Formats: sequence, structure tokens, C-alpha cells
Amino acid sequence: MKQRTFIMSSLLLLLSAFPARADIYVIVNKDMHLEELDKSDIAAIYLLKKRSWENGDNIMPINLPAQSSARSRFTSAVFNSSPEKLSSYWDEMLFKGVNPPIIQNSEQAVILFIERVKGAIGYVETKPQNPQIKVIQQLPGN
Amino acid sequence: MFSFKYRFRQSALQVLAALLGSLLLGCGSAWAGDQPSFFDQWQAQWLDEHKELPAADAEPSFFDKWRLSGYVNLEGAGPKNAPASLTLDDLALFVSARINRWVNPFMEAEIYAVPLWIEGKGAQFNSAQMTIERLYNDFEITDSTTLRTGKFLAPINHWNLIHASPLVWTVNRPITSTSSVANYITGLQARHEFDMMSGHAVEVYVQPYTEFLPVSVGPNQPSYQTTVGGRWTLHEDLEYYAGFSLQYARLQNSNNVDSSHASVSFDANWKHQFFELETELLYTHVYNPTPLAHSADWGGYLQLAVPLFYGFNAIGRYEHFQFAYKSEPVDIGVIGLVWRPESHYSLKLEWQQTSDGANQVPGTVYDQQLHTGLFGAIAVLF
Repeated sequence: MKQRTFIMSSLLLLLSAFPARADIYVIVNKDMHLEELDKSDIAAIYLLKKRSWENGDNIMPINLPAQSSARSRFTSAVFNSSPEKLSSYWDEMLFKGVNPPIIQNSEQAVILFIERVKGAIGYVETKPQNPQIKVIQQLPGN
Repeated sequence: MFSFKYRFRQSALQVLAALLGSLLLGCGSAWAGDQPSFFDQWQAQWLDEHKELPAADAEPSFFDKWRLSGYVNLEGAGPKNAPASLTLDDLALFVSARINRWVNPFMEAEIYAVPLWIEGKGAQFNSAQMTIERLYNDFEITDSTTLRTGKFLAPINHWNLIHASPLVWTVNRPITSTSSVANYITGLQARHEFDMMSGHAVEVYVQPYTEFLPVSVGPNQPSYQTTVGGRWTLHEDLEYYAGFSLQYARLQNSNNVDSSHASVSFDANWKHQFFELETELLYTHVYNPTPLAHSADWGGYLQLAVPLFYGFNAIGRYEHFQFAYKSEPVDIGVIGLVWRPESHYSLKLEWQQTSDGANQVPGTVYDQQLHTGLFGAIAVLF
């Protein structure tokens, strides 16, 4: 009995040492007429294959800097691939004449950009409280 | 036909060299597809300073829609039986925009083949060539169908579509990837994607007359006239791609001899965690008024890149190619080391070994690709 309690306590201690990662929130401007976007559409947008919203507006994908942990987790959750492969892909797309996602230096800058530009889409780790922003997909933390 | 060559003054080329030096020295901080552009940084700073911006329904600004980028490639060559040289092979600038579905212009202007130093002749700051490599507009008919008009890269294989030096592994391009087909098209192209995620797509194109501002690469360069072709991409994603290409072209040689080429090719690439494998096979039937040694250009290559450590990659390639005009085939082996710590810049060093019969026709467009020797390059996409 004592042994089982010890094992359980150790496991709990171990779990508390590795806190669950926060979810990733995919966000758009509140004026966009969509409530949800599935993962394959998000992937198509960030692969620069889907470039217009249903109403014909340009889609402007926003990215965080390469070293950001949110970006690494977003890449893993949406593409099941590495940020390096995606960077390489975007460089090729740039050469092909398709503009890669615009980089914003912080989550706050992403939110401000999406507030300002109706067709923009981005992702953040902290659930935005801003009334101008709408969450259209919540990707589980991993 | 419309080729034009600019001779710059010495001072202008010195400014160019200084600019190039600055770019290369600052390559660690250069931006590319994955890096914030000047406009991105400016915009982020501007947004930080205007947090109260009530912009929920604002339109994207001018700078949100346009992008300026490019690449630079500085090449060193130490071929056997030919003078060593240092060349600014490319300084390319791209301007692109996405205004709406119908207006998506793109332009690439390029200064190329600028000799900076040649063994026995010393520093060279006296000539440069410039061309418009690409100039087109994309009309997005639907999400999956695009019409392109202007001058663009022919979709003959994946290498041609991403041929910028920072994006490819070797200094010298495989002959199979560039030979005996038109690399550029001036005309119309339609592309349809059957499935966005798998990249399954088909492209067809036509060049009704001739190429606009062809790049001048050698004295025996053929001029591609009426050309039609297509590419069927079976799959293209972050892990691998594969596609078939067809092309029929009428050519005019420098001595006004007309001939025509009918080509079929297959190319594929697999990016595994521990290696990258790439291949292409090409067959071009050559219809020539005078008999040649063979009725076709044909060949293929197999290339392997293996990541090592600290951004270093080992590269190996073997290529076999039979030119229709040469009796003997050419075998080319390449081994090299590429330092590519980020996807947008690289430092390359390679040894190329060609078979004895390779240099039978010096001065052709494939001159450097057929030399045995040591080659190196510094390439930055910005």
C-alpha cells in the first residue's frame, strides 16, 4: 500500500514538473464571415495554396519569428513537419513569386495586424481577449 | 533576338561590388521568405507605436501587398585546363504584388555573368549583362485555376522552377535539368490544381513566337521559337514531389539553321529526415536538317544530400548525358560540401569530375558544366 502511494506521488510530482503546453489559437478579424476553419484549410493557407477568402478578399497569413516556440508548435500541429522544411518551402515560394507569410515580431503585433487588416489570419498562444479578434480554431498544445 | 548588353562605367561596378560585399557580409541578417522584410519590420514598429489604431475594417496598406526581394550569387571556378575566375553570376531583384485575384504582377530583373577576376587578366570591373528574367501577371480564375501571361520559367522540372543558387545544392546545374528544352517561355500558361494539399496539378503553356530578352549564355546558344508544353505534377508537398513534363519547340541556331525538339522528362525529390534524394530523366528527340551523331539528347542524374552537423551537408551526384551532336556520352560526378545554416543562404564547395570526352566542343552553353575542377559559391536569398 505504502509502495503504491509512493509510486502515485512520484508520478504526480513528475507530471507537475512538465506542465501541459498551452493551446494554439488561430485568429482572424471579427468581421470575417466565418466561425471555424479546419486544419486542412489552415495548412492550405500557410502553404500559400489558398489565397482568397470565400468573399474574394486576399488572405494574408501572419507568422511569428522563426525562433518562437508558438511557431514551432503551430508547424508541428498543422503540418506534422519541422519549421526548417517549411522555411525552405517558403523560400522556394518566394522565388516562384508567391509572397510568404508576413512576419510579426510578437503575439501583440499579430493581434494588432489582424485588427487592422480584415483578411489577415494568424496564431497566438495566449487566448486573445480583444473584441476585434475571433478564434476560428483551437489547436491542442503538445 | 532582343538581347541587350549594358556596359557600366567602372565606378558603377565598384558601387555594385561594394553593395554585393555588404550583402554577403551581412548574410546572417539577410531576410528571405521566412524572415521579416524591411517593410514587415517597419510595419511592426509602426503598429507598436500606434496601439490605439481603430482599424477593424481598414484595408491592407500598400506595403502589405508588395514585396521586394532577390538573391545574389558569387561564384569561384578553378577548372582544369582553363583559367580560374571569380564571377558575380547573379544579382537578381524581384518585385511582386498581390493586389486582388486579377492583378498579381511579378518581375525579376537580373545582372548576370559579371567577371570580377580572371586568372592571368586580374581584376575585371568593366562589363555586365542585364536581363528581365521574368515579367508576368497571374490571373486567379478560381482558387485552383490560374492563368499566367508574360515571360516566366518553363515548368520543365522542379529544378528550373527554383533554380536560384541559394535554393539548390550545387554550383553547377545538372545538364539534364537545363539542356535541350526551353527554360523560359514568353506567352501563356494555364495551371489547374486537382488537390491543393497533395499538390496534384497540371500546367500547359505556349510560346507563340520567341523568347523576350533571352539570357545570353554562349556563342552557340539556340534561340527557342514557337514552343508548347505541359507538366503533370503527381505530388508536391513538404516531403516529396514527382512530375512528368513534355515540350515541343522549334529552334533557330546562330547560323539560322532551324531544328525542333520533342522532349519528355520525369523528375522527383524525397526530403527525408536524414537525406534528400533527387533524380531526373530526360529524352529529347532532335529533328535536325543535317545528320547528327545521334537522333536524341538523353540523360539523367541521381543526387544525394546528407545533413551532417552545424548546417553542413555532404552532396553527391552522378549524371550521364548523351548529346545528339556528340559521338560520346558525358559522365559527370560531383562531390561537395554545403554550409547552409539557414534555408536562405549557403556556402558551397564542390569537385566536379567529367569524363574524357566532355570538353569536345568548348564555348557551348554547357561549357562550365562540362569542366573538371573545383567550384565554389556564396549565395544569399534576401
